[in-house]
Amino acid sequence: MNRDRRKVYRIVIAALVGGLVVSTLVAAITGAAGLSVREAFAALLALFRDGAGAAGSFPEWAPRLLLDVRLPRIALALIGGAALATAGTSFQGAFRNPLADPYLLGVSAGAGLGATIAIVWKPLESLGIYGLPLLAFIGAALAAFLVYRLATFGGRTGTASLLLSGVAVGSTLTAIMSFLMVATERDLHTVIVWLMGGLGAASWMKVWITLPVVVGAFVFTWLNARRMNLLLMGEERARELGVDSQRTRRNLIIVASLTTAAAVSFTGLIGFIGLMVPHIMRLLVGPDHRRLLPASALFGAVLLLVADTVARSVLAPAEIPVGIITAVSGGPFFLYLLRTRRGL
Amino acid sequence: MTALTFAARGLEVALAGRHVLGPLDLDVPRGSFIGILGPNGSGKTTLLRALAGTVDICAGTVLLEGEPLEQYSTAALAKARGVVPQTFSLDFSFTLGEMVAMGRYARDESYFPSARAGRLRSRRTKTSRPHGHEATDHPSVAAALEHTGLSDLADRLVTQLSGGERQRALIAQTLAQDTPTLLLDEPLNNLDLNHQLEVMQLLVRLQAEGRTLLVVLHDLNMAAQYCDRLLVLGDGRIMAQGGPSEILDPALVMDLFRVRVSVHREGRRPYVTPLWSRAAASLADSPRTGVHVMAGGGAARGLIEELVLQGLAPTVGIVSVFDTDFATGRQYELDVISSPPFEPFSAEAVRELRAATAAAAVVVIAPIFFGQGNLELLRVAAAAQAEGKKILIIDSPPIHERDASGGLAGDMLRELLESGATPFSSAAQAVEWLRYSSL
Repeated sequence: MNRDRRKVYRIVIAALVGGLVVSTLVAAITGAAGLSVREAFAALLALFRDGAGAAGSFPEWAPRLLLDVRLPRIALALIGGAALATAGTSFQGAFRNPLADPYLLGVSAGAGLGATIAIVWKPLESLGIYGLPLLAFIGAALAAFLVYRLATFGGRTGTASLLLSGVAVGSTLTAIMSFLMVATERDLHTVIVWLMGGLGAASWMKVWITLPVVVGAFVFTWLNARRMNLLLMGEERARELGVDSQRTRRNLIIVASLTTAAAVSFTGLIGFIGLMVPHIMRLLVGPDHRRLLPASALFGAVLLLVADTVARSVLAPAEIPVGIITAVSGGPFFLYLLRTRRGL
Repeated sequence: MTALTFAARGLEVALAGRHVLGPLDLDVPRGSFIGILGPNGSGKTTLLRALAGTVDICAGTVLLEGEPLEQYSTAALAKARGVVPQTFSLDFSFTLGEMVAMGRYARDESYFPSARAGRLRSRRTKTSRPHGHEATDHPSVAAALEHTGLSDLADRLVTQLSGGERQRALIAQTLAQDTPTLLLDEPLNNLDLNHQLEVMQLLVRLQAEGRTLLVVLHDLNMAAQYCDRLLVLGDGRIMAQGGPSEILDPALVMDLFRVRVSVHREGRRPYVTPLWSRAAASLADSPRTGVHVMAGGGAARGLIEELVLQGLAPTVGIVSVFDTDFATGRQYELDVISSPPFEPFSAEAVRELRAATAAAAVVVIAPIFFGQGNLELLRVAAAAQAEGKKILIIDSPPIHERDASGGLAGDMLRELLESGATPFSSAAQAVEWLRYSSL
């Protein structure tokens, strides 16, 4: 079993890296701009050879389109997917619960409320492009702690109380958010577009802001992988074996909230990646976080990129919000998990 | 340098506002193997957790190797002492080997703890092992699995282990931690007898390696057999401590557990046999408690044990002081009427027998080998029957196979039966009759 897991891990990582390359290529040459696959591919090759000044057997604007629209969008999808999957794995480890994910735990709702406040409260506009992610982060972190505190009785955090308080906090925050939206009608559209989740407004700027946060959060989480393994045996047992349980758990929750906020602040609320991805990877590579985290991050990245490519191809030239694609595939999967949880 | 592993002074613990332990003082010399005994709720687990540093102390101090517990970091503490809790929960599908290897956390600073061991081995065997972190590669993990008899199960999923395997996995995980001191909370839970003994013998070996062991146990005999010192807790305080033979005493056990026991001191270590529980309803509570057993030659051993199990304390006799039945009666601390060996019953013994049958409601005659020397028993039985006592006769094997009195004993037993005595073919049946008859 152990030997198998190591082998499976290598195969899974190799397959995911392959999938990453293929899905990136496919995403780059797919789109609504009326560029044929051959032209897009040629432009892409030329772009890599000559940079933005590329020329060849494709429309003149094609390299610009790829460089300024498709490539940042691909990058943001990869970063966002990896971030959501890492955060989901982290939450599941810190909460010792395979059903925990940013969406269910109200963290996404917290981020959403933060983002809404950033959009509707004009004084915050002085913070510029950083205002929205900052408030989304604060919202996400506060929601995570609120849920955690509410679900903890006498030092024990139960599955049911966790999910219930997550749902309760989430819907309360969503209600406040709805109120703000209705109260300040003129921003309604901006907020709704943000909430539905989409990578349409991707830019290199957003990539450069999120990339270091997500990479840093992943490295931090991965360095805590052994502690996360021990935490799965409960806080007291982890402490007996030498882990400062409370601090580790708190740090993991902060970092996972930060990661979630970094992702959703630019991509909107994209559900179920954080729940599904760690689960599927756990079935394949086992629960050891040293293997689970890299596999989940890669899979999350590929999955969101594929979902986004589907979202902008199905009704092209119109786009479906990517959150709809992930929810449509994630909802039934979540029900399946609830029915067959045994043995996870 | 102190020779004490633990020194607690004025230790007190409250859980959720309720005072559960102390104040107590405790010294644990290095290298000792201490069994902690006490009824449920007496604070055993709390004491263990207080020493382990996993529960907050509300008053007093605990020194571990001379240093106050609160000065240890979580990681330093994990290098100094290992804890085997009563249970664990792990709902994720780790293999047993991976779970045991988790115990190495505090010891191995490297990210993949056994990577080096894996590389060393792969260099030797000339195989390439790029990920070389197979859980069981580390020598301490392999040894821990070996000691707990789990080596063959290392690849099994933790979620698929039996109760006993889980218990041993927990012990193995703590052994992999490789600490000079071990605190074990009921490590024999869920284990069959074989594995109980294996674990206790493992603990003895660990002590021989110089480790200090504190073990909460429920089995008084296991504790007496293997521990150097016993510590008895009651209501959060130390009721007694000392060597097993000083501690295990019927009065103390009655005091703590409300159970009457006999303590046998033949061997090096005392051995406790429970007789009856004062808490449990039994025959002993009914008014017709008095039973006298006519014994001899070991014929009454099974009968006496059955009666004692039912909570009765029969009088036994007359037997010679060399008789097996004499030893059996004494073992259960019963009143045994005895007579010197190799001569007729003494007049004093016969007087005592008459008094015993007069005090009893029932006289049970065991399948004794009868000769001229003990016919007196049957005469006394006949007299008792005449006074209205119920006589039960166990007549298997049949009397003609054990009658050396020329048929006299057989005749007397027949007379008893004709006058209303009840025959049984086994001791168990007689005891059963005693339970359900409305005498």
